[in-house]
Amino acid sequence: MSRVIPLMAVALAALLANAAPSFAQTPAAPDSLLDDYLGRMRDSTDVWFGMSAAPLDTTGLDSALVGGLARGSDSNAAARARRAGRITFSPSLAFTRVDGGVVGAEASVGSARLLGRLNGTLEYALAAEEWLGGVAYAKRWTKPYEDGAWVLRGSASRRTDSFDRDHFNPQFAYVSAFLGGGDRNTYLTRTGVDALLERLTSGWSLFAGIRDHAEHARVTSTEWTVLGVGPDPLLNAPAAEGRAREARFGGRLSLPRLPWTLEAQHWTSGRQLASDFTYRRTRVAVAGDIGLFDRVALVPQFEWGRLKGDALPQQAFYMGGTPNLRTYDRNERVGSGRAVMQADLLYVGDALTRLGVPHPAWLPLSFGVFGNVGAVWGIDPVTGLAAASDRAWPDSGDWKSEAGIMMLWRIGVPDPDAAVRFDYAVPVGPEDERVPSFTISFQKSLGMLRVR
Amino acid sequence: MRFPAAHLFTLSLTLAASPPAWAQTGPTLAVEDTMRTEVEQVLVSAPRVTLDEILDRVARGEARRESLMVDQRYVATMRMVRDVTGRKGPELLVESVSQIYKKRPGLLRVVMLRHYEKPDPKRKDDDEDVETDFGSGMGENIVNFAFRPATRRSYRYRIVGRELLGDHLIYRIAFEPRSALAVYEPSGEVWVNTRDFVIVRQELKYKESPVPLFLKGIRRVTIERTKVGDHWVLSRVLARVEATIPLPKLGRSFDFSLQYSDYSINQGLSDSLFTSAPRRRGGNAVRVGR
Repeated sequence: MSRVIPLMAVALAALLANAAPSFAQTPAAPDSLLDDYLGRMRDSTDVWFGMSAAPLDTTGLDSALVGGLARGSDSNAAARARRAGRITFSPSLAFTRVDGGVVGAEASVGSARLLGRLNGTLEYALAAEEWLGGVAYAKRWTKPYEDGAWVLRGSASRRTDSFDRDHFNPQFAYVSAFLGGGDRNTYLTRTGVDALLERLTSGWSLFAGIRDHAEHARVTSTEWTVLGVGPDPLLNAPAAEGRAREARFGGRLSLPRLPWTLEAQHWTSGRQLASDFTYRRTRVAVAGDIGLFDRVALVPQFEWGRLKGDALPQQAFYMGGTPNLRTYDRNERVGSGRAVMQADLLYVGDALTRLGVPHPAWLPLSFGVFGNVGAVWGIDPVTGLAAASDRAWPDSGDWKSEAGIMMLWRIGVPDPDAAVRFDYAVPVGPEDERVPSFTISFQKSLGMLRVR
Repeated sequence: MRFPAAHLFTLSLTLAASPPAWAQTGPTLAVEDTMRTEVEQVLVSAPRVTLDEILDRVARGEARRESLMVDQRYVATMRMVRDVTGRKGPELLVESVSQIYKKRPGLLRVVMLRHYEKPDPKRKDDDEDVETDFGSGMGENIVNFAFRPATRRSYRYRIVGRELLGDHLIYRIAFEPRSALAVYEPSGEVWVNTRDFVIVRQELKYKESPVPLFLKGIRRVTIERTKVGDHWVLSRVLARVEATIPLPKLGRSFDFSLQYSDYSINQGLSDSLFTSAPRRRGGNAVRVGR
């Protein structure tokens, strides 16, 4: 028996030795299953990204940290200080028939998110022989863990402005005027100060502002263009001159769970603000997009505006051209009220890829059709200029319609939805002075929305 | 009964050399096959958690995750690699390693530990081409931007899968912009751990390039979180971008990556750590390539 016990012990030990790992295996810890699951995806990501996902070589980092802490280094604070103190310069160029070529420079210092951004511009209008420019300040306040920001903007300037307060794309107008004189905007000079306070969130925004400007009429000072053809139109209609002190309010709301955005703006000026003018200007716009099927979208937009009080040309509502009715020349119609409805039906995305047409990646084109209806009212029948009107809505005979086809080349600069748009529009309805038109414009997808 | 010692010894060697199958695969349960019975099927019905409720819980879970963190310390590595798809092979363009300290309500300190930029003989100035800007928040907006209450209205969601891993239930939720026009905005898929309703992984894709004039597309964006103690924190952001034309320095394709490692959370960082004034630009960093 004394020999048996050690042998049995050996046998048992041998059994246990082999069995031990199995007995010791407890069910996998719940977290380890999750870790394995995520780890497998992580490994797959490592393989896909290769060098970019390689682990960090930590050699020397500990000593660099010790040194950095001892020296009081903070590269983030240093970068912020650099940004706050960095002065940037850029050229400032423009061209209109009232100023001629405008050359100048712009300098900026600071950051809107830090102490504020200060911007100064100095320009010289070569044909009008006038100095333009001014200073502007912007400050943006945001808080960590908070959706939204407060923004304050202020400026003191002397500048050339367009009569059309709602739809003015200066870069496109300057280039068009410079090349072939095709700039149908009308201009005035505003000299004074402006301030605006905005509350911005992801779902809505509100603003309130005030301005005090001396407004002066301008005349055409140059007929020169690159192509040698004169400006069209040659004359620059005169603005009503005086001191405009104006308060403005507005906002924008993205409707919850609906693909619609609503915006409203109101401008008011009167004797109580010591202004030379008395007017109430209101504008409302609604725009949205509805996905129909397989990247086909319907984009309806609506805009209504009304001017009460003094029917100043620089406060009137303009119609014609790419912002609303393309079968009219730009700003051809003017009144103290405007209502426009637009509907685009387009293939969203690169249609050439969809059709299997070889093309460079920088040329994504999409196609669509559109229909527009618009009207202006409150028109002086003699002069054709805006006149005071009690009507808040056009008569049925005021409406004009058009339909057409479009091609969009989305370039994504300066915003992802920025596109060059080519339209061919034909008038629809009773025959009038309008003719089919081909237009090229630089637009964003919901062009009626002007408030940020 | 007496066993012959030699037999027992042989048995022990046999057992040791060839252990039984159950010893290798775990305990084997006896199967009782002489008795059979059937019970009536019972249909269990309970309301399934709705997608809206899941989204609400994700928003709350992400907010809670953020609120539980008072301070953070980690190492952040920003890396750019060019020619990731061409014949030349990938080449490291920039690597910047920083030690980050954050503390509520808005304290931040960044100590650069190493900065490498591929040497450019034409460059005479010493400015960095790429400057990483860190925020003081711990909300990790890049992970949950589509699941914040303020942005919920802008996206459409659907459940694409559920994975049961031990006692973890992982929901895979796909999201895409609600606007039909926003083909250039990211859509994607997140993995949500329903134990604390926190996003643990995200894959983004862009149907169309946001800047077609210069970028052919953003092929893939992967965002990963890892668990440190009781907290899920950002561990990697990886993106691959292809250009329409060779971009200066970046070439036709490049990767951008951010890696976050060596976390310490809620260790009671002292306020004095954040009061140091910058002495000089990049003074302590290991600078390579210049």
